[in-house]
Amino acid sequence: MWRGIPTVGSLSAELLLLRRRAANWILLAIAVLLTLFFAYVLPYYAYVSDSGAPGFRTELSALLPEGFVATLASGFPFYIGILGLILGVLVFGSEYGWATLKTTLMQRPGRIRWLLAKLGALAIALVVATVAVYAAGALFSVGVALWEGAAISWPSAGEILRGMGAGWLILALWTLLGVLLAVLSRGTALALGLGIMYGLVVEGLVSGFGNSIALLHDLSLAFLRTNAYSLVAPLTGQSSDAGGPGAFSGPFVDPWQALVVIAGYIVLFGGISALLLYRRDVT
Amino acid sequence: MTMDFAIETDGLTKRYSEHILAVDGVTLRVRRGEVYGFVGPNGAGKTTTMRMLVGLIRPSAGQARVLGKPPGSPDSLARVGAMIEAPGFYPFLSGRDNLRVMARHAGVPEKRLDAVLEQVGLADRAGDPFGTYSMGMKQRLGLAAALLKDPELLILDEPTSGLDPEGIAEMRDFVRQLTQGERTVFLSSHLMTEVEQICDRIGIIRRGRLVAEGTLDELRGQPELHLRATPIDRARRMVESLPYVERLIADDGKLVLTMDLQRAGELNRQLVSADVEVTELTPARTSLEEVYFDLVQAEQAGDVEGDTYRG
Repeated sequence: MWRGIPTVGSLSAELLLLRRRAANWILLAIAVLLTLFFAYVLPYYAYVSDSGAPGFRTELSALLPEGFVATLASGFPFYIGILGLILGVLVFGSEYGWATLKTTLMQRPGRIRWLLAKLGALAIALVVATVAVYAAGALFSVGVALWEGAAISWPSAGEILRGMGAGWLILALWTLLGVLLAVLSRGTALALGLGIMYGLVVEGLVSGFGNSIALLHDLSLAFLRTNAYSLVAPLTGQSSDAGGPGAFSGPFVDPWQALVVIAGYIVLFGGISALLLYRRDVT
Repeated sequence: MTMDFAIETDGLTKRYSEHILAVDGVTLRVRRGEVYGFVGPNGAGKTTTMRMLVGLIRPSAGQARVLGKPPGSPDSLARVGAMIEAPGFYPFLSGRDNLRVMARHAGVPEKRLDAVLEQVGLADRAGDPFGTYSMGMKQRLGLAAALLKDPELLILDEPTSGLDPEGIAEMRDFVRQLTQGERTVFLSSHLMTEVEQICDRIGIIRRGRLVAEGTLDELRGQPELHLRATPIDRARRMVESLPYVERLIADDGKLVLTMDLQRAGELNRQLVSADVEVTELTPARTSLEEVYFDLVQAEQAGDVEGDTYRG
């Protein structure tokens, strides 16, 4: 049997850890609350008060069940993704801080098997997070529809699945970046700082300068946010600056190209993490 | 390398950089079923060696076999329990859940949890979060994790480190219990008396090199007789003439004799008949600590340079 395949026992151990750690549930709660706030509460306030700035006018249809996939999908490339990064850092970085990596590896599992068990558990957790975000949004959209007396009609199952699949993939992308930074720095603090700064500052600033510097424009085509926003663009209908919180002003790439790039990043981040974990001493 | 040894290393070396040589060509053999004490000062290379034996650190040179398998391989770790330095556990989980996580990774049935918690005396506090444990309880949980697999080989790195005197005594009792039976124990410590009380064989490591190895008796060498007598000069001349006295050292008003202790009565009679008043004639054994400091001095003088002293 290939030694890298995680055992059911290792996977269940990692799921137990994820389930019992309060920080993970807090991150999920923040993801749901931020989603509801940015995707529903603020836009609805703008809609009812008609106070939206140009470019931030909300159509009621976006807040109803028929538009919930499009409304929610745009949150994943930005703030939900950053929360995924924090999750990845916490799950792996803490193993170094608490010296539990040492204790666990001495038990038997093998480094790659342990890594894959942890990533497997994270993949399951990200499914839960994605479903929770979509479920909360769907519920809220029903509330808006009932409040406004609008008809309740749902997007097709295919669109819902595509939205969830894209959301999960984007979350996985950011989470794997967090994993890589945590393994690289063998801790949480530096990884969190670097990851959040990269996600919120570096990509944004370079993309901004990309409007006037061609080289930076080309570079930004490879950015995580560019590809993540491009992946959900067919769902959100966004292909240019739509304004509002978390709005992305481009550039956009072809959604299929974005899918390949994101998958490539996931494999790359996971592969580098595995290599580092396998080769480096655990001190 | 043979199956008679639980641990075999051959020129095991760990170099972190050009200037940092943590372990320098350590060759040792730990026989199955014995309690092997690995002693040396802080920073001597004990922990680094142990980390290499469980696969946490890769050697820069040399090789090792643990229970006949490469160190750190799942086949080897399945039969090895280890506690290296302070045990690391998840602070948000209870002691029991921490062990549950470890048991699942090790492929050990969870019914073992109660047995090991009972064994280390943590059953009553097993439901409390690890973060609330005292140092002694943390060490005991570390020991419980090491025992989960009911291992053939137990590797314990400074198990009494950081404990108060009561905790040290308690941990020493635990370790002594664990050394009963067929299990092999590889125990590191910088507390010589601890090792002296528990171990069958001892290796002394200093500056990354194994400078001595043997049983306690072998390392201590032959027992000595301490003689105080009046007049001391006459006693000395008398003793020098005796063929069964192998070595004689005058030390601070007394004579230190290396000889067969069975002949102490004969010696006494001969001294008395030579009109020497014997005021003290006591057998003395060198402590491990004295052996250690003798070795340090000898090493500094270049007497054991490049070789391991095997008692």
